[in-house]
Amino acid sequence: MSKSLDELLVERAKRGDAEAFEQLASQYYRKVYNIAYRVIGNPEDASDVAQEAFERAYLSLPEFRGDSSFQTWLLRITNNACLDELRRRKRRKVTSLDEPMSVEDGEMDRQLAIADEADGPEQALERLEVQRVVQESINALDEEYRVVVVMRDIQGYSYNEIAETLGINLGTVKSRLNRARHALKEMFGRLELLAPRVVYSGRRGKTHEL
Amino acid sequence: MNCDGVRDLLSAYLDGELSPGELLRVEQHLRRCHACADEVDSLRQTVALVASLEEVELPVGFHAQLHDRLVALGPPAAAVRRVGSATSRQRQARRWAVPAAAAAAVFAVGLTAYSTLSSPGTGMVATSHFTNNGPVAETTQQGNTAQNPTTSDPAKSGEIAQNTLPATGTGTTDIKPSGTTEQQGTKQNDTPFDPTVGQTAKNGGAGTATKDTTTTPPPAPAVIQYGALIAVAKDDAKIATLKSEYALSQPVNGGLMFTVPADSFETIVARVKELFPNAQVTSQNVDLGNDIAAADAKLTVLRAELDQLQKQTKLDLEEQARLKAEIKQAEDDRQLFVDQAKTATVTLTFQTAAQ
Repeated sequence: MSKSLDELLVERAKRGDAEAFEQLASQYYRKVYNIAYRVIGNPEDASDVAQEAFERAYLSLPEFRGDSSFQTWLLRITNNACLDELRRRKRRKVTSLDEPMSVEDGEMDRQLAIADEADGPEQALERLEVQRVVQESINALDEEYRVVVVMRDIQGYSYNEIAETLGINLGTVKSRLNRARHALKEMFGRLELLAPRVVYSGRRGKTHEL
Repeated sequence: MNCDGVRDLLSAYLDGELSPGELLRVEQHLRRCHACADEVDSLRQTVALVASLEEVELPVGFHAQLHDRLVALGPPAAAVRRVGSATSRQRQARRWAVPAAAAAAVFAVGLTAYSTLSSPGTGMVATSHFTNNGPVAETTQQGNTAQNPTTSDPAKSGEIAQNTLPATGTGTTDIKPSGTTEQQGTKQNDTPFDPTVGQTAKNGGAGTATKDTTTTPPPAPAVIQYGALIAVAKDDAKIATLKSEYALSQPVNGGLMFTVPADSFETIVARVKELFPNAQVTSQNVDLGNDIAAADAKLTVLRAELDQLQKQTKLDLEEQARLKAEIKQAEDDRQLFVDQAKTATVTLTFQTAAQ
């Protein structure tokens, strides 16, 4: 009866082994940060929220019973931390789509540096511009919609995994995702990011745009 | 199937999450309907755009920063007991908003000083202290430098409190009575679980996991919500007796948590020990001082902002209204903590056999 590494680390962490907790948690640093980054929409707050999530996990570890995997549990905490931050923010101001995204120049440079080197600088810049606009569109969504879109289309979780992580039922996942994607589609359309569909007429081999 | 019905299913269609029946109907519809076929295509492109967002690197220093934060919290089990987990504390603050009102009503009967103090945003903090002579209710004000807390005239206190806002550590009294704060609520000193419980986490900068607007945190006056964790042998009859005497209880992980007005704390602890002779009592006090100080600081900032706005020659009424709503929210948040401090919790954990 072998246990996964996570399970062993969880046991040790629950007994008060802080190093075990860090070993366990650090496997998820990047993932949690990325989720926070995409749901919240900017690097500084994302870092705070991600760390907050890990702190909460650390403090709630005694309550973790292993009903779900550690990852699922951790992501649920992450989700709650993100929602808390977004709701806190909501009480401060109303963000509009026209607001410039708070990506600092330093961040842009960093992303550029990481960008595919086969691209020339112009293509890299263009791609980053598109990503900026896409992220801003996500920022315009209400928090519940942001989370499902990020988890599905960026993180690649299945509907069931999303339902389990967020503690909502499958139908809710489906409808939220549907609405989120439709909303994004509208925004992308207005921003002219979508190409028209090309239809090939089967009989005469002609192409016409619709 | 018509277009409206299909539209709702398109997202799931893209992900292959339709039932066979739904899939059939959608495919049939899409063969005939250009508009919906366009829609699917647009959705597909939308998903692709979102998926194109690249994974970002952890910010420099993330690892180290988080490590420091965790270290500051101390070993996990002790951190929970000493500081009270951030989430459960926040949960408490929200959950007890209603019962606290009821508890506060009970309060007001026995302690007339309290009844006039609950005007929000006056910066007043009301706490009960338990000295070795028994419960003593004292009223103190943040920012008041008087060394001898007395039940002062409520009307006047209100004024004083107003003027001394903000109260982030400026000339505030340490309202902790003699002896270690943490042990105050329980007459017992044995803490079989964790020796670090005795250490006061009064200033736990690490304790407040909330992001707040305070910059330098000078020690905030301790505002203790008394709590006790009592390990008892499971006995349904005795538990039923206790429940009949103390109405407000709710099941928690492996136990039962009672919420009582702060001045009933000693009584209920004594009663539990009476019913369960071998009970092991651990202090579970929560220091809300930092939370309240943070809330006060936030209110100060917001009010200053409003003040600025109101002085502008070009009035922005919409922004003012928004700010006022935010101030109200912040006042409510603060009140939650204050109300929370008026209650005490006693959590029974049920031990199985020998421990």
